[in-house]
Amino acid sequence: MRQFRQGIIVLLLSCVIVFSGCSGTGAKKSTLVVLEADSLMVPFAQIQTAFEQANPDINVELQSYGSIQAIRQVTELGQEADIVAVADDSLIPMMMYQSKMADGKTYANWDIESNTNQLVLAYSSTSKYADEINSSNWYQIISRPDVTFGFTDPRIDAVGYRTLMTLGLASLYYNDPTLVQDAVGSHFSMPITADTVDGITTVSVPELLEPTDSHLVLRNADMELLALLQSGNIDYTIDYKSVVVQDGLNYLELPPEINLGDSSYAQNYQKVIVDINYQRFLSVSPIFQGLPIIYGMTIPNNAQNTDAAIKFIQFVLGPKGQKIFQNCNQPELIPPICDNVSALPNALKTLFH
Amino acid sequence: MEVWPKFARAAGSYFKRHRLLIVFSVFSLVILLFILIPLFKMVFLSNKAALWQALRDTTVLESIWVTLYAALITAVIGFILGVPLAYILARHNFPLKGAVEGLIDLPIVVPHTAAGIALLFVFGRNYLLGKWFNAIGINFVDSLAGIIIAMLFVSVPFLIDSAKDGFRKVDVRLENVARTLGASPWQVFRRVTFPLARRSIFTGTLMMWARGISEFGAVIILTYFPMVASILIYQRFESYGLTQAIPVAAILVVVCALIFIGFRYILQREKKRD
Repeated sequence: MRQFRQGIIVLLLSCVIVFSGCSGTGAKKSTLVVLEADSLMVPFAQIQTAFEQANPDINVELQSYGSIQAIRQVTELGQEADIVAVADDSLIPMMMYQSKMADGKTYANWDIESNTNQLVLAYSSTSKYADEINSSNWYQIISRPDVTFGFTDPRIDAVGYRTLMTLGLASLYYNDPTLVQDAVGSHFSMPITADTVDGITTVSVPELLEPTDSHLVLRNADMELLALLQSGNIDYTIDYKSVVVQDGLNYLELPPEINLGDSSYAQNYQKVIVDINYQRFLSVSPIFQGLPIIYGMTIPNNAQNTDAAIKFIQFVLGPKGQKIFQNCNQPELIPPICDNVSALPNALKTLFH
Repeated sequence: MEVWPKFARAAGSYFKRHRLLIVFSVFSLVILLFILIPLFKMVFLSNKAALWQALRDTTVLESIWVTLYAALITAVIGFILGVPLAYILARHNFPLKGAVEGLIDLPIVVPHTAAGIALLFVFGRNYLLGKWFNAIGINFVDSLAGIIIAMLFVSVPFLIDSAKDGFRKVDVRLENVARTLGASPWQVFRRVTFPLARRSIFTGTLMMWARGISEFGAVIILTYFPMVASILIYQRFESYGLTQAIPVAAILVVVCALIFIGFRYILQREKKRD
């Protein structure tokens, strides 16, 4: 018994020593906390490796969330992040410029727009009608009642309201006024509606979204939809090209007039508005106008490791970072844009003339 | 003048006599406060107006009901299928038994998102079990059945482990006596083994129910609607923010507290009766 007890103690102690040894090796590193949008996971993971190699004294900690959620980690849960990088650059001014920290300063006051993406229609080899789908009939196929369409909740995730934008634009582009309703809108207990007035389509999302039939599968994030797609439980979903390619799924490119990926069609994208009827919607303005997909990042004003954050942004915007983004199908915005250069840390100002 | 040393001596001897109890009480207090303070804070500091609103919100009440109900069905299924396995593991030896016992606990360790995805590839509409169940009209995506298999997978180890321990504590000699008195194996199980192990089995079922109620990661992969409370809390947090999410969590905590405190009392009363 005594031996057993001693054995246990030795075992526990050696575990403690081994584990503490693991975390304590080498020189002291500073930690860089990066809150990223889910669709940045793959490029940022590669950038993390390259960045840490170039800066061995910095340990990058990546945390991924839906874009709105990533910002909420800072503004509502009080997490002190060094970088916030989201899939919709307009969320940073919307959610971080107004809300104030305890000391009266805003959470952020600038936003760098760096990369783009585009929406595609993702499917698998077992999807219904996969053999006949093409760029002129896809919108009819996803509306067929026997097809299951996966839809990201537009109230939670940027992919969700962007899907509605693309569908709204598609209804103009293909001249099919009931497209939004047929594909998604009329399959909810309270329908999502689309009305076109003077060439502007307004898609209205009710407060309650509950699917009424098996045509539609709603999830809060595209990651879950892709799992359902890969296992054959849904036939189609609309998602970022980068994510779909990374997952090795089949996809159909959508015309640049509607895929939100081509800045030269920015005027055209403005023809759609997604209005989320959220009476209690606290931190996000519920009206989203169609815009090209542009990723935005900032250093929150309560960041603890600003120096490392500046280095990280320089790296992301630099040739190595942009090569990684290029390979991940998230092409760079040329040139990158900052909405408030005067507020930037000096070391970053030089990047914007 | 005489009082102080006397008091100190008395306190000293009291401490000596109850040293174990005092030290343990201090440790217990720390862990108790660790569990209770966050829960109390959530319940009592949630915005009163929002709490009132949530209490009248049918979406909230329905989702709490669905959660309790689905977890209860899950516990019943776990009971029917898990108790026999627990009995076999407690009473019989067979090759690779250790491995089987280890594998049973795996769902507790596996990240629950992974568990949900694993289930999807078995109960999904293109896979064997999914096809069979589909043929009889049961579909596991966005349905009560989906919630139940997700909860079952992650919670049944609690019941099996607890029931197994319960069966092991039953003296085999009692069973043998019953057998020599002419009872059939079924009768022995029903009249002797099960009643003597019932407290462990009941506790295990309760743990399983509780674990089912709290499940999030595996459920959300399979089923978003009907919406269980954990997903609703997450969805409220993501879409409306903390002030709307906390009341839902608070209501769930209070409902669960009432249920589980109630069952503990029943268990204790039964123990006294024995």
